[in-house]
This record gives sequence, C-alpha cells and structure tokens, in this order.
Amino acid sequence: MDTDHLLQGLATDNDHRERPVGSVLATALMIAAPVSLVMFFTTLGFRKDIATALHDPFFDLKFLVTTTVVI
Amino acid sequence: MREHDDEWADLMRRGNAGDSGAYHRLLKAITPFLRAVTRQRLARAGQPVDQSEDVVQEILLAVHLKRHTWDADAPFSPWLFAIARNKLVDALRRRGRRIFVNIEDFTETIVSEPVAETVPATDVTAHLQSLPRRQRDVLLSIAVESISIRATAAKLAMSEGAVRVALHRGLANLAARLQKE
Repeated sequence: MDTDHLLQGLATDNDHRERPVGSVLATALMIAAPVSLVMFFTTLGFRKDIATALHDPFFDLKFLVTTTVVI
Repeated sequence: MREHDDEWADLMRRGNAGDSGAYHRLLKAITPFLRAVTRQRLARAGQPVDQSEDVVQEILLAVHLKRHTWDADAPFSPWLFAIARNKLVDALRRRGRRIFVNIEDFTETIVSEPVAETVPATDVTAHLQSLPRRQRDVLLSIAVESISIRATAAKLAMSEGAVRVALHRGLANLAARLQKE
C-alpha cells in the first residue's frame, strides 16, 4: 500500500477518537470514589477510638504521608 | 524542524478537534520529514534504505493510534520524535541490530527534496492480506480507492457506522501485526 493511500485511510479514520487520558482517569475516579466510600462505610466504618485518635498529632501525619505520594 | 512546530501543532489541534482535512495535511507534512530521518538512520546502521517506507508507515500508524496522547498545550515535535525514534529502534532491532538513536538526529534533519526512487512499502501490504475480510475490503476501498465512507458502506452493503468501526479496527490490527512481526 502506498504511503499516500495509508494517509488517506488514516485521515478518514480521524472521526474515531480515543478520549484523552485525563478525562478517562477523571471518569474512573468519579465512579471509583463513591464505590470505595460505600465499601468503607458498609464493611469497615470508623474505628471506635476515632475521637481520641483525632487529637494525636501522629494521626494527621498519616494523611500527610499519603498526600505526598499523590503529589 | 523547530520552525515547523507551530504549524504542525496547529494542524494537530484542529485535527484532534475533528478537522480531518487539517489532520490529512499534517500527515502529509510530516511524512517527507519522517522519510528523510528514516533513510538517514537506516543508512547509518548499514541497513538497506529501501526498507525506509515500511518504517515510515509504521511510524504513521503509531502516530495515528496514539494521537490522543499528545497534550494540546505541549510542542508537537518532541512528541512526534519520541514515537518515530521508538519505531526506528524497534525496526532496527527486528533486523537484528542493537542500535541507539539519538533524539538530536531528528532536530538536525533537513528535509531534502523528495526522494524520487522510493521503493514501495511491502510490510503493510503483506499484513493487509491477513486481516479479516471485512476490514481489508473497507481499508482498500477507503485508502486505496479513495471511496468515501458513505459510498463504501453502500458498496459493501454495510452501515456507515460498521464501515467506520471496520476501518479503525483494520488500522489498529495492521499496527499490532507490524509490531509483532
């Protein structure tokens, strides 16, 4: 097949478009976040000593460490 | 090639926004450049340059199937060079050479006048034969005979949607087969 012919085929296929990676991930997150929240509250729930733990400075550190991984 | 970047990026943006004419012009514009780099690299690796058209087509297919990964705010050339470079390395490796291609080679390449004796590519043609019949018929009709999607649908007694799907799957299959080769 000539390259010119291939180009013709590729250009015609331009209608077919994959979605940008960012939007795929954003959609996945919107579906996954509620699901994981539901799973958390139905199967795990908050720990019993959550009120005490909240006052512990090391408790916040756990979120800090996780956030740095995300960023 | 830096001076082309704005023009290419603009065409690519319009192509990704649905302007197939701009996309076609972009592909036509980058092809001579890809051809020049490929010939140069094959020659430097001691490989016959008459295989360059196969590599060019493989790069074009990859660019097509990966075009959604280009960030519209980023320069176009580095993205193109990265794909071209990887496909060149793949092609040379398949031919039994361990080879390193510098990304700088691309920026320094000047597109010479179109090479007259371009040997026709054979890889794509060979793999075309092994595609499912529908995909092959649609590809040949649209690419080689330049028949529109609508006319192809009428000719093959398919819906336009089915023609679009067959075209895309055919191209994706070709790329996959070239990769596996």
